[in-house]
Amino acid sequence: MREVIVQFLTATGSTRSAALMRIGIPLLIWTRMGDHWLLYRHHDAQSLLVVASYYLSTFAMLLGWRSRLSTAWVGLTMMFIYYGVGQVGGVESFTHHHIYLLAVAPCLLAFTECGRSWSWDRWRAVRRGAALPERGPTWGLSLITLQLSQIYLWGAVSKCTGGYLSGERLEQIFMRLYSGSDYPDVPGFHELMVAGAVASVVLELILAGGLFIRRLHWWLLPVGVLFHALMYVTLPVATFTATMWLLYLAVLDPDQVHEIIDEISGWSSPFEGGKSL
Amino acid sequence: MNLPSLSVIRLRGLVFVLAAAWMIGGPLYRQVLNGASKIPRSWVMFTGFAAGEVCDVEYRLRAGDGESVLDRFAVLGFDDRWDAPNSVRRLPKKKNAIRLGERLCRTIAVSDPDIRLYARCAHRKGWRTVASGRENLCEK
Repeated sequence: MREVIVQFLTATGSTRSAALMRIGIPLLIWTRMGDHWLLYRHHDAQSLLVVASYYLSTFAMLLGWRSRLSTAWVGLTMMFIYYGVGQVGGVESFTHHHIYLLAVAPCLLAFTECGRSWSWDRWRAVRRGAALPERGPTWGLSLITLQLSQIYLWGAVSKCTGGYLSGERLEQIFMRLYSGSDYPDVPGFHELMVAGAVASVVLELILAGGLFIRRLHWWLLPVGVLFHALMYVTLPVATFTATMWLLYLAVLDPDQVHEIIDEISGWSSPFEGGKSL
Repeated sequence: MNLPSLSVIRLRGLVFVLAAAWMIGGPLYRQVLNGASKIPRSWVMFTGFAAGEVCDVEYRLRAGDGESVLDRFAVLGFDDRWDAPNSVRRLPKKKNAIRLGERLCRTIAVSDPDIRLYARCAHRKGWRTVASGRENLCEK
């Protein structure tokens, strides 16, 4: 048992998937709330401090300058926005799960070597001739996978109510967004809503466990991607879909991600200890 | 790649356990134990969306012993429901449905109309019936 734990905590893999997340998360954060943190909207010292922290940290993270430190800085800034500005300050839009996910993701990503690939740090190290291989511990990626799994698990648990599984909650959501106060005059509409409700709960439960089973990934992850795509097109989920898609990178075998990137780029860059390409 | 020192491995293990406990314990506390603190994050999505924001509404014109469904858009002069303002298309609460019903009473080209409201409104636990045609909205 002890050996398994040590092996888990010392396992290494390519750092490219972590780097892709390091680049993607700041872009999603800017998309989700950049408008709110525009400089001209803020005048008091505390807000200006948050504005400065928000932009400096996300820009450093995107660029990969002091990558792990800047990623942790983004995580702390986003946690302050979620708890301090949202929960305590009463800005309701910052208390959403979209925001929390954008806050917790960089916190967890900071436990990976997210600056070993595609970063300012790496560029400087390459120029000095001191670049380390694109490899790092993978336990931080497992933490992100666990977070995704918990989102699915508890999302499913929260839907295990009579109101949801009877299809009534989905009917309400559909009418709120589409048909207004007229119940859709479509044959089988109610049955469709019941099927949608049951299917979404079952899929979330399968995803919650299946994320940890690599042999299921070839079909489960595409189904998950489609599930989030459907939500993005039909519901006001903002950046949640794109964030979940991006974080799926943590679920995949990092060495396979590395290989696929090499394949689609048409070049190869073997990493120390990795498979020969 | 060289193995990290034992203290580093221990530190990683500690961080992993603490983070995992936070991720699992937070929703457990909020969603199963009904904890009141909002510091741990729950994962409840769309549980409140649409609740209090939409009613399933039907107006019926009663004549003699029979009732016929009333097209509120046609009565109010909209050829297409999408031409109607949001306040006519989506009625969030019972009071909005009653108010619109009274407007129908004033607009419909029928003398002494008898318009009944049948409505159920969105609630977190499902639909809740709020009107079942007991009153003539035009008598108010």
